[in-house]
This record gives sequence, C-alpha cells and structure tokens, in this order.
Amino acid sequence: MSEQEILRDLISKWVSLSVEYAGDAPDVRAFYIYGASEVPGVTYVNVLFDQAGQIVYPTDLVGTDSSTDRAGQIQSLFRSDLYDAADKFTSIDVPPPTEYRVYYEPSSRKLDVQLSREVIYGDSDKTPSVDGFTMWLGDRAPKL
Amino acid sequence: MPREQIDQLPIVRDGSHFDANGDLTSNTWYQTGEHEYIYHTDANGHIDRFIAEDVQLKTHDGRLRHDGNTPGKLPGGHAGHLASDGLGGSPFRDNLVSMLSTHNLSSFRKLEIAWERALLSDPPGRVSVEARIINDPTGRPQRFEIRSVINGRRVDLDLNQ
Repeated sequence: MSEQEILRDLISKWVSLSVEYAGDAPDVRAFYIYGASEVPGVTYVNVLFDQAGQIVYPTDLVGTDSSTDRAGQIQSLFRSDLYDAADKFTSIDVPPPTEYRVYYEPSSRKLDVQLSREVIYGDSDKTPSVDGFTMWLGDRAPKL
Repeated sequence: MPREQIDQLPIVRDGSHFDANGDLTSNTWYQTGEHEYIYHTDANGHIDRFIAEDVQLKTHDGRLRHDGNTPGKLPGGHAGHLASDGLGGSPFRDNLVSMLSTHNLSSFRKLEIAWERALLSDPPGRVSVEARIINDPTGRPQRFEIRSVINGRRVDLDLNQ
C-alpha cells in the first residue's frame, strides 16, 4: 500500500464515520475532523459539525443521537483507524503525519486535507483535546 | 462505567489496598483521596484503572507533598497524579504513576485545567473521568487512555510514552 493509498483509506473512513454520526441531523453543512498523533506524545481525533452556521461538538449536534456514549464511540473508531494507518506507514518506512485537518462538505462532497509532520505538542504547553480545533478554527471553534 | 456496575465492585475502602511493605496489592479495587475516587490495580499491583464519576475541587489548603517514588520512573520523568492535588487526589502511590515530564506539565495538565475550569464556572460544571493505564511489567505506563466528559462533551485523549 502506498502512502497516498493509506491516507486516502484513512480519510475515507473518517469522513464515512462522520456522515454516519450526523445521520438525519438537519442543515449539517460541513465536518471538521482534527487528528493529532505524536510518539511519544498525544493521540486525539474528533470531529466538529457546522450545523446551520454554528460549529458544534458531536454531543451538541441536534437531530441525531448525540449521547456521550455515541460521541465516545466515534472517537474510539477514529483513533482505531489512526493507529491502523500508523502501523501501515511504519510498514513502508514512511513517518506518519503528526496532524490532520480534514474539511468536508457533504452537500458538494468538497474535501480539503491538510497534513503536518512537525512535532506540534511535544514541547509545547498545548494539548490537542483543548487547543487543536482552536489553533485551526480560531474563535469559530466551540469552547469546552 | 455505569453506576450500577460500580455499585457491584468489591471496592476496598479501609486502606487495605496497601500491603505491609507499602506496596499496592494486586487485582484490587479501592477508593482513595478526598473525594474517594476509584482505582484498580493489575496482577502486578500497578494502577490500571482510574474512575472519577463526579470530579470535585480539593478541600485542603496548599499543596500536599507527594511520594515521588513511582514504579518504572525513568531519569527526568515525573511521578504524576492521576487525580491532581487541585482535584483532591491522594498524594500517595495509590494515585501516582510514572509519567513523562511533558505529559505531566503540558498535555495532561492542560486537560486537568479544562476540568478545573469547568468546575470553577458559575454555575459549576460537571466533569467525569475514566482512564485505563497500560503498564509494562515494571509498572511503567506505556499508554494512558483518558476518557472525560466535560459539561456533557466527550473528550478522549491517549497519552503515549
């Protein structure tokens, strides 16, 4: 499997999970999937939804099952896919990305992916679960 | 873990989770700290679970001096609290694990600050935490799988070391 194939597979899985999570929630305009993974270090993946112009956490999405258990399940599946991809990168001697920013618009199927291989959190006072979306989306990111 | 399951656990509450040498006993559920958070040890007597259904701020003044001698600690590493002093965590080895200094001072600390900020808000928020700790045979954690709910928002974070 090539680097591009591993990435395409991972992003496809993440987007599919987000589509499935959103279900029949109305007016979902975009998904923002943020992932960070550093070894040694932190691993975090989560998604925010733009619903009617407001960016919200999965548990705040209206019109679908947005229980904390279901929000936990999607994060668990995100991480599982990420760890699988990391193993595949290692098997072909390619360093895995340390940061993923995936933007997807379900209506137009527009997809934008930004990757980084810099160490972002290792020597900083930030952590992706608190700071990741804010570094990406600024004031538009919802606060915890 | 649901409340009904927690109620069925054989939780030690009398301090007998320490043996005569001051080591944690193996395969033991126990409560410790100001708010009686719940912990479990693995077959080697190392902490592998931490559960705080209702995280609360500390009630003591100042900062309690903690035991810095944790299993598997490497040079430059820290003895890190699972429940911080600010959250009323025990200062003893029943709440302390070996942690990379960067985790203790940044990634994990930043998450703790988010928990504390939620609890200090007006009206006070609600925080629950469950963590699994995957240890090597020396008791050094290789990964912390931290699952918290902050004011209804699920926040999961893995710390690898």
